[in-house]
Amino acid sequence: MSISRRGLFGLAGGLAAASVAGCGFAPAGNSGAANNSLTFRWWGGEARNKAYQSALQIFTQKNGTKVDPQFSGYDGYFNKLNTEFAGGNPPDLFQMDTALVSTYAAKGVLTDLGSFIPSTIHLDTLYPAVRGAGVVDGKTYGVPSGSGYAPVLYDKTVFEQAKIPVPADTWTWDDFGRIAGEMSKAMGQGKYGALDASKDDSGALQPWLRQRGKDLYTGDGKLGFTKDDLAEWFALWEKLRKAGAICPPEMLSNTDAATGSHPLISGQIAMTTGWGLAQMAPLTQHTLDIVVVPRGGNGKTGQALSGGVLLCIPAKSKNPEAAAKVIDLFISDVDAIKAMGMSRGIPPSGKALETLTPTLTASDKRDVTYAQYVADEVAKDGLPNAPTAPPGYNDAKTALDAAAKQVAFGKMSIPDAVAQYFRDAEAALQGAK
Amino acid sequence: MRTEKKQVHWRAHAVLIVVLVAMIYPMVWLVGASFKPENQIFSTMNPFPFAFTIANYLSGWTATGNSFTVYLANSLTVSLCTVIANVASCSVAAYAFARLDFAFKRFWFAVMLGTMMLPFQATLIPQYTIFYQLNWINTFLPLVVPYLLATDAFFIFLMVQFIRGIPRELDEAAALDGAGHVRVFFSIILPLLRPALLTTTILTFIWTFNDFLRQLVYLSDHSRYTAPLGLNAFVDRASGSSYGGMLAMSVVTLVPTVAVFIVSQRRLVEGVATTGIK
Repeated sequence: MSISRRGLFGLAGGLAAASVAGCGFAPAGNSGAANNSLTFRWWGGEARNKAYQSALQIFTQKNGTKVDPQFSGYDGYFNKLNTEFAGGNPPDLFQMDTALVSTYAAKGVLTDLGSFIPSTIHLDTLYPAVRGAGVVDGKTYGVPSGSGYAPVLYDKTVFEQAKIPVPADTWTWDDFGRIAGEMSKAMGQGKYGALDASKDDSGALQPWLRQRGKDLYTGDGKLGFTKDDLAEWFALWEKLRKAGAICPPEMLSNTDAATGSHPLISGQIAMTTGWGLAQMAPLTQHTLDIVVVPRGGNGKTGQALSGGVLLCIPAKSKNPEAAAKVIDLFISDVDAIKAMGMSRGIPPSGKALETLTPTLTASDKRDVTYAQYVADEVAKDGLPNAPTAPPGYNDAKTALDAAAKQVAFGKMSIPDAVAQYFRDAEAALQGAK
Repeated sequence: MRTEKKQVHWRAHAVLIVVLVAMIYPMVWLVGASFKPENQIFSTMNPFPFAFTIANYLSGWTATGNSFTVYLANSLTVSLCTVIANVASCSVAAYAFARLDFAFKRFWFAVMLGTMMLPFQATLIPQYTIFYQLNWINTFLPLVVPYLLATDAFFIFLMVQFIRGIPRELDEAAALDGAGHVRVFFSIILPLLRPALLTTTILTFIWTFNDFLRQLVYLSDHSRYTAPLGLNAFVDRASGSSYGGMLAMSVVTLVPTVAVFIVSQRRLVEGVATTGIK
């Protein structure tokens, strides 16, 4: 008898000790439950966090709705989100990776925003090319918050040291190979003119395909190119690899994200495809710059406008009406656009750009003039907008990465790697439907 | 003879020093880089700062929305509460497994050990659902309360092994003098268990302080973020990471764990070694 009583006493003591410490143990107030508040989750760095928060303050002033901002880094963001979706407690509004929207939409956990357009969300203020960034099977599940065209990034300082003229906006894939080869020679041993981009689907392969009138995917979620196209693509890079113009495959291990360990920062390469100017420029003492992706023989850029990140409302959002109003604030409210500036990439609408132009710094102006130049060139291409990445897109991307690396390491012939890619990618796209 | 022995010493030391340098290099790099201007962190090879600056510490302390003081205080609160809960509950459970007789004891012991094999990810979503129903999301409760129920099988096992090494004669002598299980536990076992309790305290503290995913999932409000979540907020691949601030705050975050380890290192090894023998 005495055991259980004393034992209980011990347990109670422990509980008391635990509950003494701090307010962190008390449940937070009425988060998201009431009609006049909502939770908004995003990932972001310092700049985006400040920008979003000041925009949300404007929202609260104008609408009287309190927004609970929840922000973190990208690591673990989707782990947490998936747990909350599974547990039935997602945030009321959240930031989404463009590449993942179709996967989430297919699971039925996102709100179809169609009923809010155009009454609440003024989608027509966006550039036509980005309006479809969050469309899956004809329904709008996400609205883009920023936009842009993935460029080629190059180290201007290294080009100047080598006394080789920097790439011009009119360059072609032939020029790319020639310049990369010249740079490799000028930079010396262990350094290369360009990063091997044979595995880069959206930054390199997609514009190359679009220049030839094809695309990565078709509108109904199948592969948009043939085995011959991919074989030719791999052969193009194989030739550059043999000539020493691009880096050996060992160097590719640190290139998945634009971080400090990227070979461009350590000075091992002079050019790379893809995003990252804003992230990498502060990390090096060299000057970095951007140029349009090499054109096809017909002069087309083939660039596809990317929606950057999207804003989505979960199907279980407690306050979808207010969440839709926040989305509209992000794309069409002049004050919010001014408050956010260039912190979320090139603003996705002409209206936003006009609002911002008088306030821009020199480097921001460079970005904007670049974006406008590319937009004009893309208009000259006369190509249809690129379809949204289909469900299973991530696995198809991984398959390209694997096949390209097999070729680069010499473990597989080009026809074998092409066959492996088509088998894996088609299975991934089929399986995700 | 003598010279040969000396040479062996010298060689062993040389090997140890090389290994030590290799292992400590990342730490040296981290501390060095935290004092560098951001554009030199990755672009210079030298781990020591050429242009010394403490700007990373000043800006990093408040860069992520809340002061790092708040994150550190939250981390310490969670860690200390977890330590108290874990030590109290695991020692009681271990006493039961080591000294009491109850039905299906071996079976329950196996089940308890089996929980060690369950990956955290497997129980994450069911646990989240339970804590959500209890309205405990966004509080420290889901991080601390489970430890009151002796859920950390590793430490129970550690203490069971230790208690099995304590001679039963001591218990029996006390029992003859009229002590019940509670008295035996508090007066005989607990004082002798001290090395194992210390090991549990230190390891629980370090593991909780360094935990990331569990804290990320349950804490959403910035005023309740812990230090690892504060550090994560520096990194963003899309809008640019501030590495300088992150590295500086990483150094700050390391201070409590390193301090705990240095102060208790000898006893920690002692505790593990004595439980390992039996």
